[in-house]
Amino acid sequence: MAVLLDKNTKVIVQGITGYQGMFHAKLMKEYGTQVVGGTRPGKGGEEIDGFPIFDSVREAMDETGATASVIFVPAKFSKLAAIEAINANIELLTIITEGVPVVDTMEIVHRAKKGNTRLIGPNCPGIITPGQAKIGIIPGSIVTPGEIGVVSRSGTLTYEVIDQLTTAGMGQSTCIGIGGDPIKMTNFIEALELFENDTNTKKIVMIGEIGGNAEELAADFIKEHVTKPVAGFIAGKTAREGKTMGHAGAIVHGNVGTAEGKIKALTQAGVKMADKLSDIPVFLK
Amino acid sequence: MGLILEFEGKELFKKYNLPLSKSIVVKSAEEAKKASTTLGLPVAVKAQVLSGGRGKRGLIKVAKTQEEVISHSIDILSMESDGRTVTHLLIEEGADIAKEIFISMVNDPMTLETLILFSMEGGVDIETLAHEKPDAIDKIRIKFDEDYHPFKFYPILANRGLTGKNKLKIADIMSILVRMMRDEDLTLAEINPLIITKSDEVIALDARIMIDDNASYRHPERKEYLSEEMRYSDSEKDAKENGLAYVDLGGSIGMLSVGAGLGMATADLIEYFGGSPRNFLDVGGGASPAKVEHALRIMIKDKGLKSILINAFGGITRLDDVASGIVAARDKFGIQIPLIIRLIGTNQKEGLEIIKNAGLQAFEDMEPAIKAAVNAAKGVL
Repeated sequence: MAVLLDKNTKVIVQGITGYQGMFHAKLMKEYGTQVVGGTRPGKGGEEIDGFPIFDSVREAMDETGATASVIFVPAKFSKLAAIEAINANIELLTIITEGVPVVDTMEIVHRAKKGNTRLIGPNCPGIITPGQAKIGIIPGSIVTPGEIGVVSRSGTLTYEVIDQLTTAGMGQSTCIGIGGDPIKMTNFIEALELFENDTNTKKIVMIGEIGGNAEELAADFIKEHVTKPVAGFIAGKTAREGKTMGHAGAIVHGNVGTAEGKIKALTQAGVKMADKLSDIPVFLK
Repeated sequence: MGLILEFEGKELFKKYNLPLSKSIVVKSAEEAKKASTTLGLPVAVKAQVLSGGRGKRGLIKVAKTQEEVISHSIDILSMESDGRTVTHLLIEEGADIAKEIFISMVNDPMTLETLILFSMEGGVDIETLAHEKPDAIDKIRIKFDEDYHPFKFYPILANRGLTGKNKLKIADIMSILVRMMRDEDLTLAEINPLIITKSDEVIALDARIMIDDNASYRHPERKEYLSEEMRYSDSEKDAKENGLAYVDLGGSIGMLSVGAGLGMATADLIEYFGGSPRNFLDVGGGASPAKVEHALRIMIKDKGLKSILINAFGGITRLDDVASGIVAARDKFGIQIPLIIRLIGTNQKEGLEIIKNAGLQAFEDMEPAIKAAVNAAKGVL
């Protein structure tokens, strides 16, 4: 058991002919993911490095039986790509692309919620079920199969914590990078719920950052619904008020969304909060 | 998240026919005097700055005579806001205020709704009002796929005592603002105050607007905005032009990260280990060697830099690209400051090879690398 994806999940790549799309299609396949093809309008019927190309998501799904898609197209075209996949009833859609406009993300999330699609991202590193499959860009070399569910808002911090867990001999069930933008369909609560209901996940790590109130809402959810032990970390303690540190989501507005407030809320919910990432494996021993 | 200036916001309002007073942007007391002749006295002399609370800070003054226009303009043009001297004034027709109203809207990322705050007690600091008289503020939520025709707002406005054509006008303004949020890619649209004059006219006296920087390709004219110029320091501008994120933090350790979250955690750990980050510089996902080189070029312009820490966890970013950029920057700019490099992830082997061949070393773990950078900054090697 794992959440969201396993070795049987058939995946297509939207934007497979692009620089990032091609590179990561290969890495995903090497890791064991069933990458069954990709889309690039106008190149349908061709092949690239052994991957069949389709004009549309619908055609790709009909031909290959794919149930998941990952979007690597530039931000300008992400909305259209996502709507196409949602309208084709893709079960799992991951948007890696960074810099999608807020209004576009609102429409994508709205449509995904109304439809039959579970959306991860945008601006996220994707999902990996160690030893089975990955969707997105989390390096396969750092994970190892095990029983810890990892959920994180930041890409590179996701890698960092996974690496520290693996080095400490603690494997992961599934790792979900939910993405750095404020608007998303799969947030901490949804990821925590998946891990709570997954028999293979015994413990949970959540990595948050300043800005917004997703961590505070997660704290309320954990108090009520999560029975498994949770360890946490919040990035951005040194951030200056009103300064964005790269992520649209990471803004400190007054005292809403500060590292201090989040750490307090999560601690009160029973989450063991780490000062530094290297404390997390220690907490979960 | 980009705040724009009042006059730029009002230009946007003009496009949607929102009611405004006549106004002229000027850069000197002489121009201000000329503008006041065109507009007629009295006028308001308003500093064009990004921070709010201008009234309280003496950055907005009413002038009843030409002498006052000149003296107020000279005063305000010598004042500072956001760390820089005021350079632009908006000279605006005076208004006889009978009533001040507050309208503000943002997107709620959790529910996808447009959240509208409305109060008949405008003109004041809204956070104070929210704290002292929460009942004076109406909260209206518009779902993403819900209609927002003006009549939707009639009952709420009527409930606050608005009648006749003022009720209709204000409902129109609310409806237009919701449309602007979406069509103009705004993340905040606020009018405080929206006034009703003694002659019963409705006028938007201020415009506080935030634009979504990710959508700027849809609004190419925004590149020319003065606020774009004012929002960023030279290094921040340089970084932005090269697709990097730069934040000045004022310490002694130059920090280059691949990924914002990792950068924040790195800054936190630098402080945890007793150091202080000079900056936050994120090359983002999928950085090319040229981007890394630009990042280091921008970083070494900072004075007081004692050590440089490069923390890269390659996911979408390839470490050979990062390594090439580091080596190119070192050779090109002759960097003498200690370089502490940490590389792990995608194409790690290739990256480490490049670092080694250039006579440099790299850490694999984050905490030892950060400790080394803190020590190097203190002169302990």
